[in-house]
Amino acid sequence: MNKTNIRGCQLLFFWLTFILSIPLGSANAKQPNIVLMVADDHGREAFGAYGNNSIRTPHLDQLAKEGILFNHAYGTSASCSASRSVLLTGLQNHANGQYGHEHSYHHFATFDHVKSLPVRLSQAGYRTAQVGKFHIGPRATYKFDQYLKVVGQSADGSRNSVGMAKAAEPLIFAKSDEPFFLYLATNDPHRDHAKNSLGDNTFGNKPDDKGLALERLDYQAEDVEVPDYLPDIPETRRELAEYYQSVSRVDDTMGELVRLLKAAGQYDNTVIIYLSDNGTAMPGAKTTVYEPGIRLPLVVKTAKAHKAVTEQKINKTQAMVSWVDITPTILELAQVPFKKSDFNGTSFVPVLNEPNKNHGRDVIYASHTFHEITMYYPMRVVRNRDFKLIWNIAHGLQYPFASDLQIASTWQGAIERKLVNFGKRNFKDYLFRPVRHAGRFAKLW
Amino acid sequence: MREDSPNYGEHINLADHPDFQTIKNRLMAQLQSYQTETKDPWVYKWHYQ
Repeated sequence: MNKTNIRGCQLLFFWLTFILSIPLGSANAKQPNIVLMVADDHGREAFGAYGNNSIRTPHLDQLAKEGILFNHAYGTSASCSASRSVLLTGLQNHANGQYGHEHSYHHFATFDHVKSLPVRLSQAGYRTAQVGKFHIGPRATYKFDQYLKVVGQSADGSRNSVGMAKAAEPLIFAKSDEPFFLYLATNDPHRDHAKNSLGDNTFGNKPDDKGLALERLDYQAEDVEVPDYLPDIPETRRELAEYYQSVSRVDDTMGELVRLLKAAGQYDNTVIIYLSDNGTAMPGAKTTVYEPGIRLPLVVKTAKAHKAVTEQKINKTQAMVSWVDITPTILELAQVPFKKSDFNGTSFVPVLNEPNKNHGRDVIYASHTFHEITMYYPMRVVRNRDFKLIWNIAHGLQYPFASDLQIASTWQGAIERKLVNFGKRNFKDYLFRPVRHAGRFAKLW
Repeated sequence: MREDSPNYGEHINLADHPDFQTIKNRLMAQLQSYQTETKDPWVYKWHYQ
């Protein structure tokens, strides 16, 4: 054997030794941790990075600076259970069966045969954990490895949003070769059952038992920005001040989550996806398929190794994405194989790679069938980059209200004032809708 | 056309506007096709419109 062959054998031995020394678990080490944080009724008009100069959302805005802010992200339904089921299955509601609310006598559920995102990730070796609002079923379909408990929670356990992030501390700090998937869903900024001393909903804020009204909040009525789909009346402004306060708790939750991830040395290898199930809990947004109901906030902070973060400075994309895309996107980021035909959506990882390019989705579809069991009003929507069409299938019926929206002081205040329009819409047109409603929008590209 | 508000595009219903009929018909066909492809039970309601 000559010197060249000996050196070749030595080199081969060296590489074989090196390759065999890599622990099997290191294949997982390349997989990022993934956090999917879902807010409850957070409309994009109450988000600093989307242009609201009055609300304070510093942690969410910072996430947008470090990640990618989506300007044309669309939910598929402006209703809690229905929307969440789409997020975790990649299927439209008529394909997954979750047509309305899961809780109590509403009793809608996802089809048993559907294989959800947490189940897929768990089978691929992820440690999956859930904390906060669930509101989809059956539990077996949406099975997580861990259900995290919130310490020091409020009476009904729902409004300690920051506590939800703190509850994830053991998961985030655990010594493990396996990545984690955390599904954190706040109950904020949803409406609450309580009212302040002025008769406005408190949105989960501290009770107004001393009659301080808005003085107990960080926001005042004159501070808020009233979006064009709402009437600018005192009741609206007061409710928005309460709403902003609730949004701020969501922002604080993101702040705590990021703090924990950084303290654990996990931040750089964690993908954080922040979005809302549907728009603001106001008439004209939630439970409608109008833009304020389904055009929603979406921020994605990728893992540090990701090209878009390390090589590009773009943090805003005009790409159209839909909530049916979330599951396939997370699976691709997690490097978990799947069949494209398993989902109604497609992965938007190419957008994360090149946010400034059009990656082919030029249309989104949305729907509404139920919200509460009493609210049958099927609608189907197609929205492309220029135009939108709403098909009100039950157009002969009066549009049904969610119970909390009907009694909202914003709605009742507009009625008491005998306003002709609610925001930009005529009351009659809002309640009695045409078979088809069409809109035209500016070109996105 | 300028986008002053993200919602402005649907403040006025163009469904019956004569200039919009070709686009509307195309959107209706696109929606119906998607419903058929994804097996939406409500697709049969088109027959009653």
